[in-house]
Amino acid sequence: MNALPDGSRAWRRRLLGGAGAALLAGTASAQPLAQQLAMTQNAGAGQETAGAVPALYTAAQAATGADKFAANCALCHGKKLQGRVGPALTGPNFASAKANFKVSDVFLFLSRQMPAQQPGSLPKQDYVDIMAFLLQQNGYPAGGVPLTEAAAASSTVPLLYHGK
Amino acid sequence: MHALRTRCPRGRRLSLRLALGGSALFAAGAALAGTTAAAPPMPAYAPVTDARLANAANEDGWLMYRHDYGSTGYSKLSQINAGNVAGLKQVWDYKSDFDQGHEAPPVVNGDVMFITTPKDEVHAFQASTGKPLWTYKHDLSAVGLKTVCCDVVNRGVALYGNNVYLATLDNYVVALNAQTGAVVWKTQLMAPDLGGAMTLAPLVVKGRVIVGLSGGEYGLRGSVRALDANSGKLLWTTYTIPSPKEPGGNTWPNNGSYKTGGGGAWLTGTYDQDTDTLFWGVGNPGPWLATLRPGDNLYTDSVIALDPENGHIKWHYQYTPHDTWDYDGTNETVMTDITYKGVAHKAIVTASRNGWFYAIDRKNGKLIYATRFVSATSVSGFKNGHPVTDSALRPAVGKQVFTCPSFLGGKNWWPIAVDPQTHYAYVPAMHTCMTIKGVDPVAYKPGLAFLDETFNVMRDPAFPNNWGDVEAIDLDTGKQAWHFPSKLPWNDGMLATAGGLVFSGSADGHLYAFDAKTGAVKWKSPQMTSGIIGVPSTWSVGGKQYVGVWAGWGGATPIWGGDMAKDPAVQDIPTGGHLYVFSL
Ligand code: HEC
Repeated sequence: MNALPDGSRAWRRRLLGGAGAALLAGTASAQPLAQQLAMTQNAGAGQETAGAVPALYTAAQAATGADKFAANCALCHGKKLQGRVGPALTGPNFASAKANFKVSDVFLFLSRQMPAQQPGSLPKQDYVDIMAFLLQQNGYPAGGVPLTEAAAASSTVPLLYHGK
Repeated sequence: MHALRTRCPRGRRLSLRLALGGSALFAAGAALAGTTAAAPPMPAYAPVTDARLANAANEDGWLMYRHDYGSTGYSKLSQINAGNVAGLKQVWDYKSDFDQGHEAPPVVNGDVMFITTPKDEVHAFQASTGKPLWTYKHDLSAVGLKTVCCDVVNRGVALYGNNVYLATLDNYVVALNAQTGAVVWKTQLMAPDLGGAMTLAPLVVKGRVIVGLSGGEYGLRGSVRALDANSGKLLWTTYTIPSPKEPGGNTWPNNGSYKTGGGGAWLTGTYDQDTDTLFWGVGNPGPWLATLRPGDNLYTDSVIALDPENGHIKWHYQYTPHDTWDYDGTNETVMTDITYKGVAHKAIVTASRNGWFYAIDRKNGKLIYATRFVSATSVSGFKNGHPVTDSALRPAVGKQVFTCPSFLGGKNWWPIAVDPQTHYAYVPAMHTCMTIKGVDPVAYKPGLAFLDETFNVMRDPAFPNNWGDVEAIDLDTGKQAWHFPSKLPWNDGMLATAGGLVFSGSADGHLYAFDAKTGAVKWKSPQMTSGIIGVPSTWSVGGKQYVGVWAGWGGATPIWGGDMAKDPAVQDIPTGGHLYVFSL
């Protein structure tokens, strides 16, 4: 593709970050960045006032998970998890009462069938950390106890979007 | 985008409001449109009658997905031919707002073109000039797109009367006024995100809009459905997986497995006017791992012959029994008359995902011949007219096998064309194999994929340098006449014309014109801004022939393609929809 004025990666970045993405955000289910930031703050506050939304992972885990997600999942699900060729992994269209997912449903699914090109190919711990990141991005608070593979694979906590 | 909106006719604003209600984004779009000057006049529009559809093979336009009821992908237009194609020039273009795969062909009636984008927009243009006429944007804002496996895509529209028909990712069939884009009716066949989605172009037969649902990866029980073209009323539903009481029901374990048995019917069928029969391809069984559902698992991986009146199944032919490799039988069947070993047959031909090219008697579903068009080991041969599979190449929990072709298939959805002049079929082929193994089964969960297998798409050792190929197959023998190997995958449909040409687009963004007889490259477009998976089509307006195609790389290859998707040459293919129209 040398005939292109710019490299294809630059092209891709432009599209994901530019007006195209803004439009997609309008029609699909993306969370604007501001909203995501608000969500993260909310997650911080959750540690003290956890209440109905349980703390299932640590902040450090979610941070590692964010990196693993960027490297292995963002190409298809979007850098902001807004969805592209794969569905959005944040927001009310993803973690909905209608979908009725439990944490274990999603964890078992992603750890066996994702990334789509080479399902199940990542180290198990990466999937656990990515699950922590997905919880964070759907408004679940961080806590003091790390998510383990066993806990993720058996958790019956419903996955419902708790962001604003 | 703004330029387009500001040139919108009043009818489109109306349709937007109707379709999208209060969404702020689209209200803004409508407001912009409100600032406009005069809209371009709509070119004259001749209703698409049954008679015209029946005679589509001889029309100047491109009235349906595969041009005519025989699904030939062949046009009688010959103004552009092997002698002058070198002079083909771009006459207009249009950039879409999406970076997913753009698969739809331009569908053209008179001087009006209708084309869809990945997210269920329909754009109407003046076909000769590219002047935008109206746009319909389907509202997907509350849809999770959870059960859309192989890229967010749409394969185009159907025409009938003064309407345009679209099948959507949230399972609506929508009828639009062809001249304004206003919604005439819309009918939702099932809620989205629970297993079903629609990506196919509908087919209209005698006042019925016929569609099928995708969902074989999500344990949907697939179906083909017919709606009344005037009212949108559902007329019949034929499930592709029989219940235990129906014929074929005993090919499934009697434990309710039919309810999650897959069999998506996700590509457009073919219609035989002589026998009043619809041929529709049926997809893979669910879950992928076959050990969980002993039996042949009808009608998965089959072609079913249906009565368009009521959807009753007349006969079927199964390409891959008890599939465990995701070899959908959805690939289009093309009607053609052949002479095999001295005997004349009225046939349908198909290049199956399983790597075999089939010729089947279209009156009774009997196999005429099957030949390999790529390396094919899972289906190892034929006995008494039926395929035989290699049990050693069946994966199980903890058992990994290496077999060919990969689940992406010797050919995937990108359609073949059949040329009556050369009597060849033109097949966009893929050279891949795979490792595949069973994993501990997970309970079925609506909205999540139902596979129970992991896999990796790899190179076919027999083709170490080529992911793709364009093949010409002699219909009377099933043997290859010529081929054009490609380093990159070749994921585009074929267009054959009476000009002695075969058009198809490459993954590195060139539309090619091959000599239909020899495969010599007669013309290659300048490089487009993305790779091509859009089905090319041709039409003639005012005595001038045009060829149009979407560039817009995507589809299943970059998502599920394993080593092929990770090949840097494939990863670097730029994305983004861009429609190009050429003429002499
Ligand atoms: C090459 C593209 C691709 C990559 C990379 C990818 N996915 Fe996916 N993912 C998809 C597609 C397509 C679907 C929907 C279709 C399906 O499930 O078959 C999906 C579905 C999902 C779902 C189910 C969502 C729902 O609402 O049903 C989850 C969860 C998910 N992916 C997580 C991940 C994670 C985590 C990663 C990284 C480890 C990842 N994906 C990498 C393409 C991809």
